[in-house]
Amino acid sequence: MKNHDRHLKEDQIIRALVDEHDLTTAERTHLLECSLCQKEQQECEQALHRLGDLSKEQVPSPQRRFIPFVQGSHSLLRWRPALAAGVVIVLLMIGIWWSSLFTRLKENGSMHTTRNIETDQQLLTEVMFREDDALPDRYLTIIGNYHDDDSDNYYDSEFLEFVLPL
Amino acid sequence: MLGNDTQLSELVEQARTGNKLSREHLLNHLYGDIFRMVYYRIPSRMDAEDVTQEICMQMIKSLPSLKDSRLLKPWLFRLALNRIKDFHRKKRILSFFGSPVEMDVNVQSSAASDADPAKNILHKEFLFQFRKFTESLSRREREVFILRFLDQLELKEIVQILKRNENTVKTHLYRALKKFRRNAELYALLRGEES
Repeated sequence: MKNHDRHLKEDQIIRALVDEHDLTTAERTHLLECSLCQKEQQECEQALHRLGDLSKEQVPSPQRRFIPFVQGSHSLLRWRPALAAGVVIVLLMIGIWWSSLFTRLKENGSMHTTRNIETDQQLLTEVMFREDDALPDRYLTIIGNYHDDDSDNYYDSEFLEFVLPL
Repeated sequence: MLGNDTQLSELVEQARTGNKLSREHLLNHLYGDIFRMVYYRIPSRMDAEDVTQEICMQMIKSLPSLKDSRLLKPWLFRLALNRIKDFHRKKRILSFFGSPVEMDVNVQSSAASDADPAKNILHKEFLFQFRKFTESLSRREREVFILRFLDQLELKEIVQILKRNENTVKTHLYRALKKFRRNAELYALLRGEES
């Protein structure tokens, strides 16, 4: 390559930026002599330098200084979302369990009430029955006032004929 | 990153032997640089401060194992990069539980709030373009590019930090630079700023 015949290509300029020693002697000589190629290399270098400066400007100054032998001051803060998620899950489970328990209790309660009403009705019926015949059933048979479904057949005709012959 | 190399080497030597005052001086000297390096990779002030703190702790703990005080910079960067990797790994696990990595946009804008509104706009535009550019790079390319042009390390130091073949590092840097050169918007923005 004749030094001023051909300018360096983009690839060669980039190679020079990475490491100038990677260029061939001819390329290096051209770069040393050619102001256009030098300008292009410098422009790229300046852009990279500017990139470094601008990045540096974006960095805030640290608010905390080094505190020796205090590790993980924010470890709890870092785990806070996971902790919160865990608490929410536990609360949800408690809520679900509580609501199911409440429903079950409610069902049990209504069943209990129904049973109470039935018992009350039975008691009331018995009370109403006892208004007419206050004695229990077994005493009613003794006094001959027992009305049962089978009461008509309790004394058969043979027995009656024996007691009260017609 | 660091000031006078000889002074620093002496300070490191003294800190290595357990001199508390030297250790404190060394940390005060490096803290800002470490923080900046971390912030480039974790753009949240609070998280960057936490990780910087961890790096400093690790540095104090491992300083006696540093064989050559002249190698402090690559040694420290390697240590810092490992802590940053750990942080991202932890964040990834946490993000599974709904805590994504936060970008501290407010802090970034506040860092440039002293400047005039035009400069603020430029900073925001730069951030946007730079983020877009870094997203176009592969992980390795991004790593090498940031080490070279943001942390302003020499190629040899990068090779020592990443413990990779020099040619491999050069290839990554070359590819990243090619993408940078072809990123017309970012390149124009940076060149326009110069004039």
